[in-house]
Amino acid sequence: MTAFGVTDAGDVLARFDAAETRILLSLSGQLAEMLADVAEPSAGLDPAIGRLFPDAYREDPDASAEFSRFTRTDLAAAKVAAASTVQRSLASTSASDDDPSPSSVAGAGAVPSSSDAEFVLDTEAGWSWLRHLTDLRLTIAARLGVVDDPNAFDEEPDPAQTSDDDLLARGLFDWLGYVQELLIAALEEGAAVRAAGNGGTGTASPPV
Amino acid sequence: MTTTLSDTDIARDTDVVDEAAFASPWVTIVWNDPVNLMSYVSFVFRSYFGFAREEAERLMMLVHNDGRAVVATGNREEMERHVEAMHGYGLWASITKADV
Repeated sequence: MTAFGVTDAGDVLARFDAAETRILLSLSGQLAEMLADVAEPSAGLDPAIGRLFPDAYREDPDASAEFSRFTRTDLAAAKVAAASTVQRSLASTSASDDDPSPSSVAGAGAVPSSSDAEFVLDTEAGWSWLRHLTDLRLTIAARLGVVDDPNAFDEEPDPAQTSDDDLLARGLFDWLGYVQELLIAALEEGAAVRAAGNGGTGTASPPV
Repeated sequence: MTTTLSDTDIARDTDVVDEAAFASPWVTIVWNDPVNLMSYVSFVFRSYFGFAREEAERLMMLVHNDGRAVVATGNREEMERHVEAMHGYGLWASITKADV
């Protein structure tokens, strides 16, 4: 089960089980692949790309195109970098037993199960996670045909009228949102811990 | 302060130069979307713009209830930087001229 804690230093301690780790690595890898093709002309037709790189000028296609020319490469690189941060976090303690090479990232210690992932996120890495979780959710939503209908996810999908693929995608979408909500709370709690430590009042009681 | 503005404006067409002469401001708008969590939008507003929690919550609720909110006002270059940053966070942001 996904869980987030907060260290004494105010960093976030994250834990994902083996199945969750596999899913996140798979989704993250797929998104990174999609972003690699962002400069291809065909990418312009992909609604997910359209949502990840929206028009900056809604009523001025020329200005939007110019904005896109100047920003898209950097924006895509930042999104890929966030994906890499997430993948590195998950790989840092999830190396399987049959991989004898030492972990490239210093782990916080041995974890009970070889494929669970447990790692510490500072604020910067936490934001990479939040951004990447957002990009994953935006992409899945676009795959489900949802871009701007504000009520699209208000109700649970009807299993009788929804394909298995779409049900699975919706499940992933909801789960990623749950993870993001927990991570936001943990980052806020971490900030409160740091503030209490620096302020010296010690009265800040972080929310659970 | 005006140096950068005039340098930029000279390169643009005369319409924009005329507009700039009246110092017509631009705004950054964040639009509602069905994906981004309310807590995330508020967190981004606080972290990126440095808004106090109350102001971030107010703007987030505007986005949620009215479908959009103006989160920044200023010159075009500055607003483009904000929009690019918002896109980096996955928020649906655009730039437009402020209503006169």
